Amino acid sequence: MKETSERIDQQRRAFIATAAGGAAATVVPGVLLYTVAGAEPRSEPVTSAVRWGMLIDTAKCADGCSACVTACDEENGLNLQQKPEGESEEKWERQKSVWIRKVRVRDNLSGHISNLPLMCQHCEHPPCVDVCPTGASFKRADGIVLVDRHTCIGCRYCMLACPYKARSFIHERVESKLSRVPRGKGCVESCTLCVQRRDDGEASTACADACAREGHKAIVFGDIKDSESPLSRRLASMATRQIREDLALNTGVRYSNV
Amino acid sequence: MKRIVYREWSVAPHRYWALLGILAAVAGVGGLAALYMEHEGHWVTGMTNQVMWGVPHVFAVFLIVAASGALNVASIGSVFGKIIYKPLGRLSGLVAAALLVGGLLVLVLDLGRPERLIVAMTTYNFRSIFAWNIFLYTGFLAVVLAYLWTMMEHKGNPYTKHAGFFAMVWRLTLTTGTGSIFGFLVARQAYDTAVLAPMFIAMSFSYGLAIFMLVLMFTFDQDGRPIGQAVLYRLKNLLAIFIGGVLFFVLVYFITKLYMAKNTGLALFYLLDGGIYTAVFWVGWILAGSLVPLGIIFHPVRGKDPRWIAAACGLVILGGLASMYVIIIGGEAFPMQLFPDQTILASGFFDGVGGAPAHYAPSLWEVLLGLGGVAVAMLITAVGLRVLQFLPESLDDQTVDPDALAKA
Amino acid sequence: MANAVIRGSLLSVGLAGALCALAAQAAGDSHVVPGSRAATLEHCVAPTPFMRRNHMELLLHQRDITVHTGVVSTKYSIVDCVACHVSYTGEHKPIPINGEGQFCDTCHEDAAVQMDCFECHATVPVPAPKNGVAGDPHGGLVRDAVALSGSVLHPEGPEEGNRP
Repeated sequence: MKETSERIDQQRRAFIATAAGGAAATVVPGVLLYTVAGAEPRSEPVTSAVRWGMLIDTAKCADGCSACVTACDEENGLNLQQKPEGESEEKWERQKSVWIRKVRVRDNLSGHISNLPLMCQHCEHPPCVDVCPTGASFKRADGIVLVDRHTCIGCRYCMLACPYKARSFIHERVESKLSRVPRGKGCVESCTLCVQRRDDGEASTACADACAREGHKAIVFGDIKDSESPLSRRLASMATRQIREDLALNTGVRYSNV
Repeated sequence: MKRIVYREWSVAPHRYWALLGILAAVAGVGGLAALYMEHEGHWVTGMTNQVMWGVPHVFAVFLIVAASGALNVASIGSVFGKIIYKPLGRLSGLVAAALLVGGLLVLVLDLGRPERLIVAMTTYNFRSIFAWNIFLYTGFLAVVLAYLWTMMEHKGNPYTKHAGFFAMVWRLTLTTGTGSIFGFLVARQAYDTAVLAPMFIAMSFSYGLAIFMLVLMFTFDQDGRPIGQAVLYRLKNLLAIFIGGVLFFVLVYFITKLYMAKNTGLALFYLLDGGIYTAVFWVGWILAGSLVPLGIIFHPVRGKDPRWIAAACGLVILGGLASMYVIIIGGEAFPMQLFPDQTILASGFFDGVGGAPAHYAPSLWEVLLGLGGVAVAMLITAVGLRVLQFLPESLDDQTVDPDALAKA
Repeated sequence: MANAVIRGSLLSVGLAGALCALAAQAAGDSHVVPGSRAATLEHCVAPTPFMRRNHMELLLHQRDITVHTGVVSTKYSIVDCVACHVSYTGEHKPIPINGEGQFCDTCHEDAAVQMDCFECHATVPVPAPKNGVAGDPHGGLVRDAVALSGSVLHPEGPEEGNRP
């Protein structure tokens, strides 16, 4: 009896050793991948120690310039959108996704004209998050308001609820999309503050970079909670406001000179 | 009241199957339209990023609101103890459940991703009134079924009053929730108001009763069953009260909006310069949907003629659809006031340049889907009536209210 | 007697068939498409039988983590799955991974399981442009190239000094 159990024990030991070795061999390449890839792609969950935001100085926003829109389209694969065959151009303009748009306004009293880009304002109390029936529309810990496209059922209630008409619904099959920005038919989407850049360790959003490249520097992106960041310093140095501030949404995107 | 006998709807078989065939065909076409919209994507519809809820939602919300109101008749009988309404309770429950199923079906089939219905039914964000409504709608079906059981099963009769009360509270909550889907939204000036909740309740009473009356009159007429004046005139006068209720809330809504400087633009959009929305509001909702039916109901001669009463009910239903169109689509089309006291000269996303409303033209697919939902509701009603004992054999004056004849 | 012969032959045919099926299972069983980076590797981020059964669980779990907490540096990233398993034409053009006869299809067609990942996710590695310059779809992702070129998994094929 004892002999038999000893033999079984040894066999079991051998098995466990092989399994442990196999498991180690499996894990090692992954560990090496982590090491070599470097710290840039995010490996720790986001926290609320950071809150991303933007300041848009409309006095610097140039009339007729749409560099921010073009940059956003390229960064997020929106320039790959294709009008479905058989649809009129006019209708396609009204159905295609737009994450950021240029708006020109004139004051009724003074006639003063302002130009500004308008996108999801990443509110602290987002109405779109409140109304989403499945919780697909959510606010990330670092303040970015996103749509979880795995959970979105495409009811478009958030589009109804957004005070800035910032959201778009994808009306057509998406044939071409970027690896870092998945998007597909039947879900709702909006500006993500270039979340793929946030999670890849890049400093700024596509629109802010493009505006700086054009020389206008109307868009400043940064961490609102860091009082030393360029964004916070600019916010502290001038009068800024939220669009539709009476709604008290505490938006992450602020505007000056409008 | 004499003891009420309930009997299955017994029109001639060939007529019954013809009716089912027509309803099934309309429902089937609606289903195919939904399949097409789901497969191709919503680009085939008239809905856009500016008007994202269109004709399907007009039908869906109308059916759901009417479903809640259709149960009113049963409530008046069970909860408020009005004897003359008691024979109508079973049909009221059936029509309410059928309308709700039809409305839900249209709502669900219009989703961008209807295959994720399971996700919608298992993942809830309870801050969302929409999520609460999903819960209230499906619960309503269960509640109505239980209520029907208490009415139709002899052993359940002692519980009818309790079930009726519970059902009444549930459906008032449901309709408040439906009105609040819009009323809670600060984003759009047409919605952002608490009065939408009671307005929707008043609308539910009106539209639900109109549909109920049409179903009652049609089924009785086809089967040769009599509806006496006592019941018919009671119902038509009740409908008049409900129409009046809706008009009251519309008046309060507009007076309040007109009073506030920031909302005057919206009120005038609906009342004067909203193009199609103004036309549908005045002609569809107010005139054809409210004032003309009231005129018919209170007319000394026409108001006593069943055919004219049925016409009035039909007009109320059309007015109901018009009201949903004006509220839902009109509310979306009105440009969002992002910069009060400034004019938008240009926008890359149709932000109401120069104050222009958003463009929306309903597509055939949306209308087919909406009608398909109506057909499903009527199909369920037709099958239920044939299979179970929902309809009283007679609603003539002697059966219902022997005293009425004595008083007459 | 005849019965016994028939039963015997049926039994042997059946057993032979079963053995053949098992052999086929064990032998040419790889669903990895030639021309992909995965074809040059020993196994996936986990042993093949485990991946076959559980890749969906891994993806379902990881996607919630990535979307809600932003963690993208993970071996269970669908982006890296695509980058590794996609195969290329002669002119080094990537073939959509969910195409007929491609990696996903070889199993999913037989299993009759429809997947909708690629309604949203890119079927070939497609990097975003940087600084206004369009990215090269043939080049694969920046992260992917850095990661794999520096690892022991040699792109040319397993060599003596290059195994873990």
